[in-house]
Amino acid sequence: MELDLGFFVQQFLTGLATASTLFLLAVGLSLIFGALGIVNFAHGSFYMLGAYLLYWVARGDPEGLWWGMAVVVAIGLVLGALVERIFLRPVYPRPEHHQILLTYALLLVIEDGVKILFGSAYKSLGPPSALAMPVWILGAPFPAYYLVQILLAAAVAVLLWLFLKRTRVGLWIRAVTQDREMLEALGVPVPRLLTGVFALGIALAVLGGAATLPMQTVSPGVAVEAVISAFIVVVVGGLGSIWGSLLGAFLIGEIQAFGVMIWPEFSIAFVYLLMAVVLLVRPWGLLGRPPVVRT
Amino acid sequence: MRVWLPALLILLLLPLFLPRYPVEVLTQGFILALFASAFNLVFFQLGLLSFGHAAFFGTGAYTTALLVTKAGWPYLLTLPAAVLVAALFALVIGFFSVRTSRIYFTMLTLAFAQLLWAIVHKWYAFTGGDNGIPGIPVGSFATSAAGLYYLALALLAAGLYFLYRLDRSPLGYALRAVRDNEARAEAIGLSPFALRLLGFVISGALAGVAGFLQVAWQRSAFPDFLYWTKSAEAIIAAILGGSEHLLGPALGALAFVELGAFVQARTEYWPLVLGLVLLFLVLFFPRGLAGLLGRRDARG
Amino acid sequence: MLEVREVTKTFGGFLALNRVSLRVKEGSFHALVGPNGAGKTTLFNVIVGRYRPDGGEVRLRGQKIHHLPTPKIVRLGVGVSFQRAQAFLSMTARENLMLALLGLKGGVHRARPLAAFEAEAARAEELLGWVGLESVADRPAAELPLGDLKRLDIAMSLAGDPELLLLDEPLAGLSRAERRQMVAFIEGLLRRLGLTLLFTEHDTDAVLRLADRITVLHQGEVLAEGEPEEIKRDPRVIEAFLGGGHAQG
Repeated sequence: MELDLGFFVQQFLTGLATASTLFLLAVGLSLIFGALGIVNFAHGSFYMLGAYLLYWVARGDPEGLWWGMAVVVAIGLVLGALVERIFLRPVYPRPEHHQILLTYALLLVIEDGVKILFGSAYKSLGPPSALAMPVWILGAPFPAYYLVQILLAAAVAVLLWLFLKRTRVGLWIRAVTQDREMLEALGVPVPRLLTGVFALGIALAVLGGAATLPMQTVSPGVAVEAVISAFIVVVVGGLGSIWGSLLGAFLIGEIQAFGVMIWPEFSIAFVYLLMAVVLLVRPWGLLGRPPVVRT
Repeated sequence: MRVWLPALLILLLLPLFLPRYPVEVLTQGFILALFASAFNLVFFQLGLLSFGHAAFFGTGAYTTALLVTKAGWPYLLTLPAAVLVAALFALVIGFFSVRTSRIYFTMLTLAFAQLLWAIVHKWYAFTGGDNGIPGIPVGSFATSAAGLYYLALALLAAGLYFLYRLDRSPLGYALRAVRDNEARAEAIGLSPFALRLLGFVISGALAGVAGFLQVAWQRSAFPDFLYWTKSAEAIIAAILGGSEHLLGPALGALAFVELGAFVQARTEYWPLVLGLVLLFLVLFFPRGLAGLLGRRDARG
Repeated sequence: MLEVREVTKTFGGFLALNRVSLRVKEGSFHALVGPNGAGKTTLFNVIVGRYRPDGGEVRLRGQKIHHLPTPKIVRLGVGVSFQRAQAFLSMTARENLMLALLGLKGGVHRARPLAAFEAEAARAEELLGWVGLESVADRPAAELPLGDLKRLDIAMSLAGDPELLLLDEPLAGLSRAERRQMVAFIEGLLRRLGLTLLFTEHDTDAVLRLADRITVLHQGEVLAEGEPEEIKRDPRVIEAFLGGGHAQG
């Protein structure tokens, strides 16, 4: 195998593109868990739905990508808010397994719903013509669209960080996990805050799914694959931590990109190896918070 | 408790009167009942929700399928091997999963099970990939509808009796002690990690028995046996039937399979129906989630 | 009996215990006091093996125990009872005790119904008698009032026939009257059994009544150690702790 620099950079960027998708997917899951205390098993389903919605909104026309994504994110926000109000709000005080059953039920409904609306066949949408040609980096061709994905994820990470650190609502979101009663006593509209967080998380998942459509085909089965990937990212990075999602996504994206070179069929094995090591050393994730010892 | 004897008698006589199809559906019910009861050992006694029990069901099934087709073992003799392999997989997955917090445990068991599914799904040379292993000769006894019915019923009864004994043994109490109060359990000399792992391995081994039976029921093994919807079937059966009662998961499984057979005969959108039923139950009828058998208060 | 030597414990930069030393003499009733955040519970958790110290050592009858996990330590003849009432709420009081008896002996793997262990049943009956819970022995622990739960918890700690008993805030959550009863109960029981006791407690009255030796912790360090009369008069202690201690309760 020839390991010249150009090839190396190419694999690295491919890994970054994968990581970008994983980040958009996992950060919403983590955000939602952080604020609502619920692990959303239907998260991958919204991701999958995002790709279908883009296909539908753009009517199969690659040039419709940009405004299509904007429309899809808007739909994701509304959908997320509705799902939170109708389905999740009643189950906050319930045992964990009720919440898991509920999001699992959503997953089943979305999967079959997509089959009914769009059929079971694979759907795809090429990149817009401006991005159809590869860019050449150190003598190696690289899909221009990957750069869009990387920039998109980087922009989301920065905006999210600014939002959580610098705005009052961001402060509330960080505080709601630890001290909900305190926030309520301060007059913060906590129920609306939770609706907003869920809507934001879903919008990110929908965006992540839509953003992959120009490079990958989508089918209903994508949902399960996606939610498992998101789980692995948050287990590695630490559930509830934004930076953990970023780090987890980066590590897993790169491990997949380079793992493919070593063992193409089962490159996923390396990802699990990483997860196993993290679990042995820091069971709460690389950037997660260790559980408080109960006495 | 005297109702169980007549109930057992009726179950023993049913194949003599019923046509083939309902007998097969009931057999599938027994298999899921065993699987759900195995799952419930971890769910109720340890208080951990595993979303990866299909891994043990599936590895048990594939062990049997591979030994019969590749090594020429007689079907029935593969049972100990299926149990052993499922237990080994439970040992490895449990080693990584039971040390984590509850929600991580759920995500991890799911992730590990999906890994095994992905391997079985792709490894054409060994597992047949997504074609599975069709046409497995399971011998004349397990091929006949009544024979397999009795085999499944016997193994289910044995499994439930084992779980009943475990429930009342010091080990059963120790598992619940770790669930109730980990710190207190340590202070009376119990090791939470070892107990959780032991409970998980026993549960995985029992799930392997269910997988062994599934091979005969379909005379095939498919990657779907390891897919997470299979794990979800056990979860749903245990919760709907009543996880606090020894027989709850088994009854929930019978109801689940009968409902599934009924719906699947009419529409291909069984997951959609199931999803809507679950949504309805969780949102409007949460008491239904306390199980068909209701809540068990004190234990005697 | 128990010796803590120069124990240090930090949590992510926060120094919770700074070179804490302490000696519990055989037969003494030793109290560990200090304001909230002084490190009492941290030290307790180091001794019982829930935290590993960053430095120093803990010895039981000369044997190092600070590297051992809790289940091993309790089998060396140390009875442990944590803060707040602790019992297995899904079981009856009797089952709690029988499990404790089997657990401390390493006998939970035997394949018989719990109820069929006759020697343990007899011993459980005896322990129930000691703590006055015979009449509620077969009620689920979840239904017991807090005072009963605390006595059940102490009975469970005694199940391994310990020589040393460690209690973390045995009076927390009890009313004034219940506290008086509990102090008298602990004193009577432990004197009768001839046990050594190390306990943490907020209630200064109870500490002064029960303890014959007191170690005062303040901001993770030993501020003073001595007999109750000395401690009561120590100006540093009065300043740091007793000043607000009576009101605190």
